[in-house]
Amino acid sequence: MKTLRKEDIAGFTIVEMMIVIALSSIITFGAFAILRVGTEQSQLSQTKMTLQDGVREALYKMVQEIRQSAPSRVTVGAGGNSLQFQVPDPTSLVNGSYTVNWAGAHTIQYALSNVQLRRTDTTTNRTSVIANDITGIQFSGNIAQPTLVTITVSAQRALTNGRQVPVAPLQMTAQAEVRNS
Amino acid sequence: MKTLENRHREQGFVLLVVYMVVVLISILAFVLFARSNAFAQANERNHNKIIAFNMAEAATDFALVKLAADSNYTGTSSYVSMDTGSVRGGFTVTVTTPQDNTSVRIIQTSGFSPSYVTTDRAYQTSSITTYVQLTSNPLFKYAIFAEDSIVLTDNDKFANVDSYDSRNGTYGANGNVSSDADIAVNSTAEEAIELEGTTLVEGDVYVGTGGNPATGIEIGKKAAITGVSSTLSEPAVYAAPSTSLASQGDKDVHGADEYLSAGAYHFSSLSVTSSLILTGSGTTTIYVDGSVNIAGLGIVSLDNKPPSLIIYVLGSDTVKVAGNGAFYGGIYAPNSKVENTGNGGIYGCVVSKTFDQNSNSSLHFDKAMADIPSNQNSNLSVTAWQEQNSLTWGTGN
Repeated sequence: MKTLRKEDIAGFTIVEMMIVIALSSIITFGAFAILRVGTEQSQLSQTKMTLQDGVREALYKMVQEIRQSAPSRVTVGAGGNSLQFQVPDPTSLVNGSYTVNWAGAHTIQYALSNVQLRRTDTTTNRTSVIANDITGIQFSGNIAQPTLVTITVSAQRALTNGRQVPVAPLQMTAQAEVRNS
Repeated sequence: MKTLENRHREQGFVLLVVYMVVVLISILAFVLFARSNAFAQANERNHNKIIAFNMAEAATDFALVKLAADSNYTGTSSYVSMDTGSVRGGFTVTVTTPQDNTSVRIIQTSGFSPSYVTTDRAYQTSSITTYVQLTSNPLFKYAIFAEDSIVLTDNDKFANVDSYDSRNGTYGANGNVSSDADIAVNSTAEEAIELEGTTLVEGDVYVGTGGNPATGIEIGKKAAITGVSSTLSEPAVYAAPSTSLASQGDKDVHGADEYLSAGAYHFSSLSVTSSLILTGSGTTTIYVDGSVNIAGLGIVSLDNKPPSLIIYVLGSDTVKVAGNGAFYGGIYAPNSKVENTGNGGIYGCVVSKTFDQNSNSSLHFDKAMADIPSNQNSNLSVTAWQEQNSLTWGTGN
């Protein structure tokens, strides 16, 4: 059996150890710093995407519901920050003459409350949240095209570190064309 | 005492660390990929949801166009693909008529994306119900309409065109003769309408949209009209007739009289030189592929009510009304030349490609004909619209 000589099994000197520890610390710190930046970027991207999805979904739902209304039954609130309109009851769309049964219609209101976009069925007095992190909403009509309602929604979220994402509020616009008369 | 074998075992530790780092990076990459994939799928679903809705809207427009041309349209027999480039989807349409109101149509459309197969990736669907009120245009509007030209009589012959209302009695009874016998052409050519001899048209005379009545209408020295000469506000549309009835071949009535009970018939050609007597109550509708020749006493109806008989000419062969017997009915032959040369004359109205009345004949427009609805060219108005959705969004929470 081959044996090792004494110098082969000598340990590290204190200087070697210090150098190794110092280098290891620098590498570890750097790795964590890179990981932290990556995590933050990932969190930013995810927050933006979540905001975009939320706003897009809210716009889709609002447009889908406004479409059921009629030009004469849509009212934009003062300052354009709220919208009130009527939608026919889906279970009783038409009356005996096959026109829209407005007698059984519900009145719906969209308005901002803090950072929540809320929908209130004022006929049943029920409220639900359409979207969160909403910093602004603007409804507008058009006299020349009374069937069109334009909706602009702004959204922004504060991260746990206080950082606002995105820096300027995300803004998306959609148009709803009412189909009934 | 450490051996070389031991040192080799210590190097295995580095390999383990490398493996762990690789595994950690792989897990991190997988998580990031899964999250990106989830967002991509959500976007694809949103994309398809919008396409599905637009397909359902397109299907509604499609059905409206079909209904305008044919009020009996009942929808698509199967899925209609509308794939174009990166947009994939299609629709189905069902049109029904409520039993208590036959002038209403209920259009139910479904849009799909990427296809109607529910197991397709990111499958989305959207459904729309539309209520439509149908207002049919009259089958006949004018005493005489011709796509290209109208020529009334030769020199020194008369070819009067006037109107009456068969609902108020026979022609001339109860003073029901009036001056509402308008005649019109779509053509804007010079002398598209020629009124010669002692022809008298008791009504208005129209040339095609954009035409010039001064050059489009030739009125002879002894001819006259009681109404105005003008242009059509829009081209008159008379769609080619069609029928799903099986043809019964040629119908020739020569020698002995024949009888025909009220109902719908389809002949290859129609030739009458004796009498074809219509029996029973109700309307008789005759579809003819080829030529129509009515002479002798012609087609005899028991009540002499023009709305009781309508002849549709499917092709472009000539239609001749001659003989001594009067013809009571409507002739709908938008692609044919129609000649009225009999002494008996026509009580009803005519739609033709060209109209020629060249003997001492006459045409008495029955205003009751204007109340016969057309299955084609209907006016549509949407009375109610609703998008179905899985959310209880209409009145929901």
